[in-house]
Amino acid sequence: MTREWPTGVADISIDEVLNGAPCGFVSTLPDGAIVYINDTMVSWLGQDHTALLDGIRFQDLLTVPGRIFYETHYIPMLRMQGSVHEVACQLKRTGRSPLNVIINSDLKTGPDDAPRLINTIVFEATERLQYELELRRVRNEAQQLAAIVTSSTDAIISVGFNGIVRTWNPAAIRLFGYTEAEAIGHSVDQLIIPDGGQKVRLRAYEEIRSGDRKHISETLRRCKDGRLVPVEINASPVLDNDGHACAVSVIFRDISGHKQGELQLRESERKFRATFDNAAIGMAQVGPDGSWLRVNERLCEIIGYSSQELMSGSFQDITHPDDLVADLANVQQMLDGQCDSYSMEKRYVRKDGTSKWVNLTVGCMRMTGGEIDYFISAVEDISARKLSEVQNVLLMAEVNHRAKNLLAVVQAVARQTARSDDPATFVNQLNSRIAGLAVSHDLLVKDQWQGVDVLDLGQRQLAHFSPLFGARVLFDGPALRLNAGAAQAIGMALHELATNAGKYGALSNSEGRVRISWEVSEPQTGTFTMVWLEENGPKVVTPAKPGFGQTVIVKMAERAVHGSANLAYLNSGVSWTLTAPVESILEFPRHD
Amino acid sequence: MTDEQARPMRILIVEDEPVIAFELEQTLIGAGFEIVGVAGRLEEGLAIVESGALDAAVVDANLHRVSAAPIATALTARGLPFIVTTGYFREQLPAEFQPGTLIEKPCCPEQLIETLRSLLEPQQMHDPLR
Repeated sequence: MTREWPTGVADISIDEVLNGAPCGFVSTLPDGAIVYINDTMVSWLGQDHTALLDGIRFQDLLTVPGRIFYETHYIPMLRMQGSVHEVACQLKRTGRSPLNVIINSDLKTGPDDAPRLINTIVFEATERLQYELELRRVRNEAQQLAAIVTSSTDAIISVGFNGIVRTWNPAAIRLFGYTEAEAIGHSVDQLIIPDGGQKVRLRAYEEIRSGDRKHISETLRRCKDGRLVPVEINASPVLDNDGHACAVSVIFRDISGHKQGELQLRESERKFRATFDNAAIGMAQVGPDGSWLRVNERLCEIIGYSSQELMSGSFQDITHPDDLVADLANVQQMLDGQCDSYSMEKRYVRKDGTSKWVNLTVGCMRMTGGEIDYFISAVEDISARKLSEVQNVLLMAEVNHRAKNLLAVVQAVARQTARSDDPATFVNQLNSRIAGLAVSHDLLVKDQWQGVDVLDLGQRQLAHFSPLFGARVLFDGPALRLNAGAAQAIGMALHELATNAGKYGALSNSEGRVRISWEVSEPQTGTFTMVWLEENGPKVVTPAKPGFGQTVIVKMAERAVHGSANLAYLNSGVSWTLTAPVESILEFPRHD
Repeated sequence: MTDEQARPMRILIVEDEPVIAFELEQTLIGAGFEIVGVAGRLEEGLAIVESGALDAAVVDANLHRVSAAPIATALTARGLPFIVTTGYFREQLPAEFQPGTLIEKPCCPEQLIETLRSLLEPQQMHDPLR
């Protein structure tokens, strides 16, 4: 079947067509010897045209692998099939890199079926090969991506903008419990979006459609069994070839493990905070330079500054100057890594200027390099203990003072007794007087040195005669408290009077009586009067020589109370009257 | 007691405990001193020191909760020697008593008399002992 050449090109020869073709054309004998080669092919090879027709074989134009393939496969296939198509090989080129080509051959036979001629068309294949390589790379990549998606521990799904699930990876199966078949083609809202979550999902998809990525650090998704699982979500658009978003790729990370840890951490943090803030002792975090980083309420109470005031300064600012050197030495030891904690008693200077004794215990948090991150201080208010320590010291000193004073009194009594009285009765006299002193002392101690009740004193000094109380020993007077000095002196006087009455006076027989009465004329400013009156005793004998007892009853009593004492040996019995200003004899409440 | 002295040395006793005061008074009289007063209260003691009619004093540091320090100050101001008797430790005594000679209670009367005599010897007058 032939057609006529179009007008104007009728004079173009077949040779001109072949030489100007955009492909190579080669005719060879069955052994490969070139009998025709067009200009396109010659220019690719960069060789001389006539030299190529001088016994050169087609296979000699190919690189080594191409020639081997040509001879071992290409020619046999050509002989068997009569033609071979689309075989890639490379042409050797003078001074240039080989040219990738695709060759197609037809075998021409003679009437005897014997091979006569091989016509080969050669196409340049550089671009096509590159395209194939690229295609292979993309296929490879897609396979790798698919493998990543399949093996990912995160659930990865893709969803159309209509909400229908398109892909569903194995991790999604594990996380949500739906198989691929149960998920793909179904609405994501019905599958995993919790009730009421659809609106939020739709809004997010609209943003993604416009090209945004979405990250949700924590939300809930529903599993097949209805359980809600906390997840972290990353969603991004899937772009088609034109760069338009055609679907949404969603990656879910199960954070229930983190959540658990986070909850525990939060709970632990909450407990720590509660402990820190509400601790009964002061607590603080202090920087390595001494600045307050965090303080609790109790510490503020102890130190007397608000937390804001504290935070703007350092512990050095409010440590008592006398304790600062020792404190800083401790801190330095910790900074030098010689110890991890210390404890000391020190004073802070409160905002009001007063000192506060505390027991300070300091620990530290170190960074990995060993440097101190911060100190942790526990501050315990020990001012009450310190005060009681001071009071104890004072009390011991006072006890010591009083004991020594009492010994001095006993010493004086002993010397007086020895001086004034009969040596034969010395021991008895002294014992009796010491007993009398002890009674008064008891009362003073019992009432914490705050005075002694008159009646109490009288009854105790006359305790020896207690069976006679109310009958032969009569007490009569208002409740009054004698001061310590007066109690001591009057106690001794009563003791001496009672001793004498028991030996020689109204209490030495069976019917004598003693009336002990006292009164004050005015409560605050008046005169105190005390009377000892003996009646119905044996005949009164005035002692020949006044003994120590008489000194005690008169002279010492007078001195002790700055008053006057009168001792009379009446016929009816001994009478003793002591008068003194109220202010020097009674105990008045102290206002200190 | 030195025989050359024309008159006995005049001593003030400041002591709030009547028994001790009484005993001390008798002891010192027995040793040849003249007692110009026995004061149980601060004002009484101060009044006697102000009168100037004394050569030395035996002062109890504490008069029923009231410190006798003002008497010590008045004595020091007049250059008069004095003995401080107390049941307290030396460190507990106020500084006013420092010029005095401390004798702790209870004390032996002979020690008191000897100390008083040594304080009244002329060469010791301007060298207050501690």
